[in-house]
Amino acid sequence: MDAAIASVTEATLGVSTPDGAGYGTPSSTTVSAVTGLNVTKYGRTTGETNGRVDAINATVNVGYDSGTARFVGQVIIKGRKGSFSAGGDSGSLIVTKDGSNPVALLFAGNNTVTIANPIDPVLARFNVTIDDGSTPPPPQDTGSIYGTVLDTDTGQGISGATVATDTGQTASTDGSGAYTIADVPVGTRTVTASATAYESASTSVSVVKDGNADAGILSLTPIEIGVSTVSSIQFNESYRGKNTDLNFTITVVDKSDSSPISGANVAANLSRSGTDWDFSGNTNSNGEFSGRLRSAIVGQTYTLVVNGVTHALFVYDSPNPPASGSHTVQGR
Amino acid sequence: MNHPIEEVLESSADLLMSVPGVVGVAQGESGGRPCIKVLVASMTSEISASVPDEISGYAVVIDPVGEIRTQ
Repeated sequence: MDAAIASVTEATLGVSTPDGAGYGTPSSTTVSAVTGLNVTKYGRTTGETNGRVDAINATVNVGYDSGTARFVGQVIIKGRKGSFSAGGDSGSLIVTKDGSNPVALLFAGNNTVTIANPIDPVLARFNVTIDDGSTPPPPQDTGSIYGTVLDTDTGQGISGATVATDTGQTASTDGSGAYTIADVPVGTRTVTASATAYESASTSVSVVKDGNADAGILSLTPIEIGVSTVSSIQFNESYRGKNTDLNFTITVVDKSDSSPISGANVAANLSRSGTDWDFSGNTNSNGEFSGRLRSAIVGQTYTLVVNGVTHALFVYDSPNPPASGSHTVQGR
Repeated sequence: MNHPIEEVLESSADLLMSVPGVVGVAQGESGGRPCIKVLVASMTSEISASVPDEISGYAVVIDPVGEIRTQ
């Protein structure tokens, strides 16, 4: 078989196909595939598709990046309309169209056929059953975690830092950098602290049932914050038949050394008499954010105003009045 | 048909799989009766020549499904 098992937290647990699509909740009672059985599945790539068991007891050669593997005792399914599955649908539970009884676990195929492991050996291998949602999940044993987040340089607490567990629970630090996260599943947990303008740091802590585990001090190293500035606003025109497109490029650089800043989010507004357009996006590796107004009017003057530039590691040196540029459209 | 198709499949699978271009063998259905399906990447003269029309009374159906890959 080709199957895997993952552990999830209660918060990420669900027993149905998502958002009202698909077959809903599977039955906990499995059935064996027989030729002609009508089946359905809900997969990541192709969503809900319907099919029919074409053959059983199949011996099949399946291609992997590392080579070919031969599987025995497999189920072969063909789609009712087109393919039953595609790459990325692996792991889909195949159930009977009638009654949603689990039949097989999807793992291979092509445009014509889908290959699936019979479900019973998979369940036996992992010693698991299909959850039909009829019994609530057992309550998990939990404890809490506490600790402090400090600035490495100053030794002072960092206020408003986010602390997250590997199970997805989060907390914010108070004015002294202290935090507590409650209801964390027991076991060895990874705690990661992050804060704006600091490098993140992680530690491990053992959470015991109803205990309060000390994650100790997480020291975050400050990231040096630079100052960004708009170094140029340039326009050019391009032509499509009778139409003139107005293109602009805003360049954002580090004020200290004029090196380009990539990934800065630029918000700008282009206007002419009576109307305007908002543009926003990230700068490229040359520090450039470009935009285009299609079908500009020849003879009109357009003004581009940079309303803001944001980047985690740079503060925008916002001039007053804001950085701007103008261009009167010439046409071809 | 003295032998159950499962037995016939098991005893003939290795031989059928050894034919170049055969990617699978399975128990299917043809005309309402159990048959032996031979899945092939594409039809070749070698497959036509090597795969019999029936084995132990079960019809052999060749299905050109294409190569099978992990999904």
